Amino acid sequence: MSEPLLCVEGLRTSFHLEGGVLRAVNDVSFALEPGRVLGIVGESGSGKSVTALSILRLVDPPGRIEGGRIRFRGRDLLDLSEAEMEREIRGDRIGMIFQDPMTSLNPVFPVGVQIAEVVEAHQNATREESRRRAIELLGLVGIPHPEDRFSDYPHHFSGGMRQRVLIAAAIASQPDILIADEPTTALDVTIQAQILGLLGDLQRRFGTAMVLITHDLGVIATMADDVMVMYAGRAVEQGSAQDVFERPRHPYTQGLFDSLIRLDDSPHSELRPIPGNPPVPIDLPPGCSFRPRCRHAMDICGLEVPSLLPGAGRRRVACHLASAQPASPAA
Amino acid sequence: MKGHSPDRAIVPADARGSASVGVTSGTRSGLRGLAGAWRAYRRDRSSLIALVFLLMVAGASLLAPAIAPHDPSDAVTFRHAAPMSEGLVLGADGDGRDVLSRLLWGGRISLMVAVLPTLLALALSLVIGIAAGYFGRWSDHVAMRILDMVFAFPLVLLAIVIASMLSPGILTVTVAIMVALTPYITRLVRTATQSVKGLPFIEAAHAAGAGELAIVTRYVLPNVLAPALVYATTLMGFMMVVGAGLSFLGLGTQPPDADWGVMVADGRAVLRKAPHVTIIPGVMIILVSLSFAFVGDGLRDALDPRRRHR
Amino acid sequence: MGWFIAGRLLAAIPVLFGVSVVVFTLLHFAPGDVASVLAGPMASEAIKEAIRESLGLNRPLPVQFLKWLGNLLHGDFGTSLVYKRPVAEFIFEKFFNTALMAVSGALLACMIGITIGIFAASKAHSLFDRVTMAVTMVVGSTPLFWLGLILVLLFALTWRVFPATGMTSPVGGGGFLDVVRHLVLPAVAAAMPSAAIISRTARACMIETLGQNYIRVARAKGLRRNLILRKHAFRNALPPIATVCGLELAFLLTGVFFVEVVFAWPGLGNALYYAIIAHDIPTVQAAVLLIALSFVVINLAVDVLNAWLDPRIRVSTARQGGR
Repeated sequence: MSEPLLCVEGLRTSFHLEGGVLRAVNDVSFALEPGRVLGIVGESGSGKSVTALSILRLVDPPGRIEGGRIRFRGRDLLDLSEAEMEREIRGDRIGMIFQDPMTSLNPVFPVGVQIAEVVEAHQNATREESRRRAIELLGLVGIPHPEDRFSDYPHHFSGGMRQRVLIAAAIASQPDILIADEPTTALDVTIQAQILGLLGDLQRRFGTAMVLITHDLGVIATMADDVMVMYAGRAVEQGSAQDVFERPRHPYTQGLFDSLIRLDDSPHSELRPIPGNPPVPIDLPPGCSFRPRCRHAMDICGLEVPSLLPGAGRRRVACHLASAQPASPAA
Repeated sequence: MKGHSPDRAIVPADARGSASVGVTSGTRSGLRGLAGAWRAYRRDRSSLIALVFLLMVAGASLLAPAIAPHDPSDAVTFRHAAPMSEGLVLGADGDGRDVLSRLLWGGRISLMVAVLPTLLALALSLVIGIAAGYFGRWSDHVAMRILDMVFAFPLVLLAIVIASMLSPGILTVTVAIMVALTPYITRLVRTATQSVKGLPFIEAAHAAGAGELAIVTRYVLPNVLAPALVYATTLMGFMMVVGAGLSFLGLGTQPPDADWGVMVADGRAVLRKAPHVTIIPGVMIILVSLSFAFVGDGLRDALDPRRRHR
Repeated sequence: MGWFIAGRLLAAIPVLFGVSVVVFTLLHFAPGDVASVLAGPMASEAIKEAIRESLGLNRPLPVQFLKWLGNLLHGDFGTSLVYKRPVAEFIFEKFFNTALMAVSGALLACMIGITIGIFAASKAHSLFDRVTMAVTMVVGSTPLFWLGLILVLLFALTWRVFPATGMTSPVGGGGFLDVVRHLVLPAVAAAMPSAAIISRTARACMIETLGQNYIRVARAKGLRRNLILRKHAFRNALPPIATVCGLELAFLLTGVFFVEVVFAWPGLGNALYYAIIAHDIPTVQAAVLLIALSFVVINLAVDVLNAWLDPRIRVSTARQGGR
């Protein structure tokens, strides 16, 4: 096993709101190895996006990173100055793309400029060099006639094309890590597949490690090497994608799989959605946050938050059931 | 729409630009709606303080005949006595008249000039705006083309020109401000009417067989009234400034009456020796004008059901 | 873009016509009989009648209006009843003086307002932000005529830094620097409330823009904070700010009315003021018309500027032609 490129330990990010403290990310740890894809899955509000923003320290007030370490190439990103983050990390070593390509490009600047400015900011390039590099990047992400398209404005591009432009800007500095926060959620289904294919190609071609955030297990299945399942701000299950998909051990993960339509399902089998809604992590009751929706809830679940216990290999599960009986509880 | 907490509107900017309209869907039953609005209003401390201050100023002005220590037009001491001297809390002006008494009496006119023409313009605007916005077609076209022409004149200029056509006096100021202001409120009422008109409950009322007049008075008016009233309240402070300006120029209140604008003008002659004569009424104009803006803001939040429960 | 401007220009024509109708009718009903003013208090009714005849005052109203409009288009604003000479001879100089003050006041207001607004937005909810916003709230509702007097009190009477009235010094004045010295106080007085309003608008627009997704993307790209503020945020917040700046310039054209009276600045406002007092109708008409015209032109310019700032309008037409 190679040395992790990014190592997040005990990350806590909270939002101090009038109604209380929202613990969006609560003691989350994970590692990302070079060239691998880590998928983070969860429902909306589970803290996956805030986890991603925390890595780049882009959480705005009233949100605040309150604890933990984010080790990247021997340094803790939480110790860096804002200027160091701007100069050496964001857009340089770690690129990020976001959910909504329609609003992620600045409407008043040509798309090429919005790529070239990344090159200018990080690579000491002249205007002409960065322009050429931007055109090259536009071609790389599959935009036809990149020279002509350089000076077009965002409103001339479709959602899928805009996401390609944003990917080009994110990889302009050939980052070590690309964070993709639900990169296809806002797009049409056919375009989704194209964008995911592009991300996969680029990731393999440049050996970029990737953090892929999604609520879509199908996306994880096709793209990810490792998986982290989040629920109410905590990681409830981690492991290699293959392990987790074959033997989900947390009742929440199992519930996610049960609520999916599979190709090999018989046409008459029923979907089983998880009953209830995920909690808003403000002033959570003690114990496991999934308890109210859990089929296997026990007395202890209301008393203690289950800790994320290591299992075989990289497998970790945060469930009292799993610690009580190592075999699959759903059996 | 701007972020979650809209910037506190500054009065003159609102009067010159357009105003945004928040329309409530459906009507609220009178008394319970008012009680709820008051509870919401009470929560915003700055608006509450502004309201209390306005009521105090209005009360003191109304009671001027009873509580003013001197006759506002009588010389009671030597010229331009400083505040807290000669037994006069706010001193005397260039003619030896008691500034406090003049302030109290002047407040009656200045407050009236802020409130009365704005309310008259509001009433007029509701009629024109609803007629244009609800019944539409040619009445809308005609009204809007006329408004376009009026909007080519800055509000203050229009007020000055109208005031200059009539013989100077309080009535002139009232008419001038009312006429100059009506297009602005009408535009808002029309926009609000048009958005209410498209809402499902109007269609439902039509389907239930309600007559046009009933629909207008029972469904359109209550929904248009709230934003129009808020806008009008916000404008009152600005209108007080405009009215004082007209009086300052000599186009408004005439001696022996004096409003706060006249008092500022009187202070010009003794600006160096007795600056308090100029400063005091000006500060009152600013405070009252600000208070109207705060009250209008609080009213907007209180009358908007979307903002009420936070 | 060209079509857009042409459309706006065409739309302005009926407005301008309406403006002239309004000015004419308003002042036709103004008090005071032109003939008696011209003829003097001792004149007989027959002389007054002759004057009315010569001025065409006894003809039907629409005829009078068309004649007046025709004269206007030839640059004839009529004859001032007070100065007894053509209004056109002096009104443009007054207009220039007013424009000098309104434009310098507006420039000052824009510079101060935008700077404060951006700074306050970049430190939203800080102490600086709260204090400046409270101050701008107060200054924004301060009457211009009072503000002018306070500035005179402070900087002309108490500290004697600047002259209180006039445009040039009576002795040995008239040079560029002399005019600038006289311009400072009235321009500052005119600019302050506008600066307050512009700064509040700029702050609100900047805060709204800073909350947009593309700003977060720009931060994720590792662009420097300053660059994001200056380039990405400001450029997007600019259209509404430009609109308010235009409105303020337009407002200043009338706002300087009070300032001109307080500082005895020889501009249009002052001329209008004395013309109103003297019932000098042709001068009032000319002054009101010039102000309303500038108002329309400024609004038009702001519209065009905003269209130009928006690539969706500026570029889409160009592309249709290009491809």
